[in-house]
Amino acid sequence: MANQKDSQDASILSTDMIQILMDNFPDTIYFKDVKSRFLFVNKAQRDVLGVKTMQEAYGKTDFDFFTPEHAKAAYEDEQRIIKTKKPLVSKVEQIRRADGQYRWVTATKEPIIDERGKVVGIVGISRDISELKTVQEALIESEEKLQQIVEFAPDGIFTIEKDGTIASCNTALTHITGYAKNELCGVDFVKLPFLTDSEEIKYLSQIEFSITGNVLKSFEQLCKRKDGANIWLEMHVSSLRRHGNQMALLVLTRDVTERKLAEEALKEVYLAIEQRVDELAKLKEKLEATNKLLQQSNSDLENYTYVVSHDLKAPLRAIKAFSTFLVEDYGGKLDENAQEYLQRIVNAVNNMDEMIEDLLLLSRVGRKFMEVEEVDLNQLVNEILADIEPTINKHKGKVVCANLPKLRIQHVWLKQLFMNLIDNGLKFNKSETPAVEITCEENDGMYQFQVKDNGIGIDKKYHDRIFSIFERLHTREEYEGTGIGLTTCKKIVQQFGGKFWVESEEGKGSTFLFTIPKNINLQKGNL
Amino acid sequence: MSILEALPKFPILLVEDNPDDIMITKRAFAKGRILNKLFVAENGEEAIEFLRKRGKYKDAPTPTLVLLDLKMPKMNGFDVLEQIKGDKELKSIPIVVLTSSERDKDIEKAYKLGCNSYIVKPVSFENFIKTVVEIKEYWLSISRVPVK
Repeated sequence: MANQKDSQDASILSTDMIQILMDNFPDTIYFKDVKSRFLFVNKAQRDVLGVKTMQEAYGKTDFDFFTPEHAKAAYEDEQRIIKTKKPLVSKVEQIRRADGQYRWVTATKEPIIDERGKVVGIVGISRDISELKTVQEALIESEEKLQQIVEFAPDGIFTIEKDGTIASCNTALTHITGYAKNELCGVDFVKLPFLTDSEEIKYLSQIEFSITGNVLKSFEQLCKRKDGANIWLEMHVSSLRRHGNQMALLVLTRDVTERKLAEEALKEVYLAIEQRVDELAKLKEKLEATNKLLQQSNSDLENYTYVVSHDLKAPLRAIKAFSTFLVEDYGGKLDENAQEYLQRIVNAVNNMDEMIEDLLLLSRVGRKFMEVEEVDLNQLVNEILADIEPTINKHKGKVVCANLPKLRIQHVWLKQLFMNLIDNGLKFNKSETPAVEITCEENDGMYQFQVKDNGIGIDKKYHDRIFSIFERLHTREEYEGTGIGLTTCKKIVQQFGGKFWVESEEGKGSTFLFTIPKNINLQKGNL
Repeated sequence: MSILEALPKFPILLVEDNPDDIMITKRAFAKGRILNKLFVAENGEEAIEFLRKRGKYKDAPTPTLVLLDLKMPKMNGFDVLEQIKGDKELKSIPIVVLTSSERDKDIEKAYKLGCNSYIVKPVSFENFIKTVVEIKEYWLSISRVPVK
């Protein structure tokens, strides 16, 4: 009876329109009687059950189509609904379709109650949520991955909520700061126990979350670990957004204490270097000052030489004059001895006069400024030969020179230089045919001159001494001279910026060599 | 009146502090047969007094030539030179600086102050006589000096 009545009810539903609507519904829809037997299944449910027509499902139960476990669970659910009249809403369950596929569905089942309040069956509707579930699972998986990445990142990471509290932080942050997660999470950002005051923190605490622009800020922040140690954290703050709204702030922190210490150490090194540079500069200044003093003292000495030799001349002049007067006025009355003494006085005065003249000349080499002019050395040598003709004739000497260059130089001093050397070459000479040979070589930027004689030569051990002032290797009786000539020569060459030296052996002649730069660079005060 | 007779009328003033040099100059005048009367001022102040005919020099003649040494205590040759050349009455008197200084600076300074010649005293007496004679010949015979 009941069956008949049920089928009558079902036939009421089977109007064409409802049938079409339900067959085109993507969710499965089914009606069951109180014994959980299918009365009606729509197209979607028929596909799940693997039947072509409704008749194939009619009167059958879940046990005919599904796994016993599922069928049993469903049957129990349905009987409870029938008994309690309470619906089952959105139960997520896995089913095995007739084609063998396992699917996830949400099942909702309602009791069907007649006008007398009696449960006559249930209506069920199930939605396939397998795709949704996959997406959800992927999402969960991805989030878990992300959390792990955050958790295992070597840098400290935390987020700040809109209200300024710390929402989450990772383990690295606890390692870096020494504080546990529960000491950090939920704390107001500005009251984070490891933070110290800074402009940046003040700025971050004032950020308006309503602003649309990104908060992007990187800075280095001095922090205090729980154990009291000072550390430097590099903080990168950025916005976390959703649909364009600022939801939170993400803060990445990296412990840069070592780098910072290294930087500070480097800074100290730089400072030390700077200090050294300063010291060096001061030292240089001092050196320059000393140098200046030395130059001053040199120039004073030159002046002194000049003044002394100059003042010596006055009494010398008097001695010379008065000995002349003595000879002129009383010469006849003096005996031979007195005459000889007088002659010796005159000779001594003449020597002294010569010495003073040479000294004055030497002092002038460093003191007197002369303009540079073009000098043809061949012509200059001829001038000298004319000037010292008496000496050449006296010694029957010969002066030979190869083709010599033209120089831009100070005529007076170049002449003095060659004159002294030629004069020396002929004077300190015992040869039958005294000869002086002047040659010149050119090599990078320099002229190198050679003044070679066939004279008495100089023993190697005296080579240094000959350039010293007043140094004489021979007596006045042997060779005349004041002992200033070579000193003057050397000084002239040095003033030109060149070098002066000698190659000689006793008895084998001497060669005086010197260089003169092609472009002599004279400053006032030199020559 | 012959030139020789006129010469003594052209007196020469020697400004020199060193008695040796005074004696040597006097002898050079004699040996060089320079007949001009030679007056001697032994320092700068005295030279100025002489030229301005002051004090004991009120009857002194105006010299035709001044031989001036540079190195003197207190008022030196440069000061004398400056005073003479800055004095309208005196600046036409030729001044020959006769000194032992060969310094360029000294020579330049002397010419700047208006000296007419600058001569370095030679060491030998023979040369000194020659020099003194040359000075005399140039300034008192060859060149025409204004006669007051």
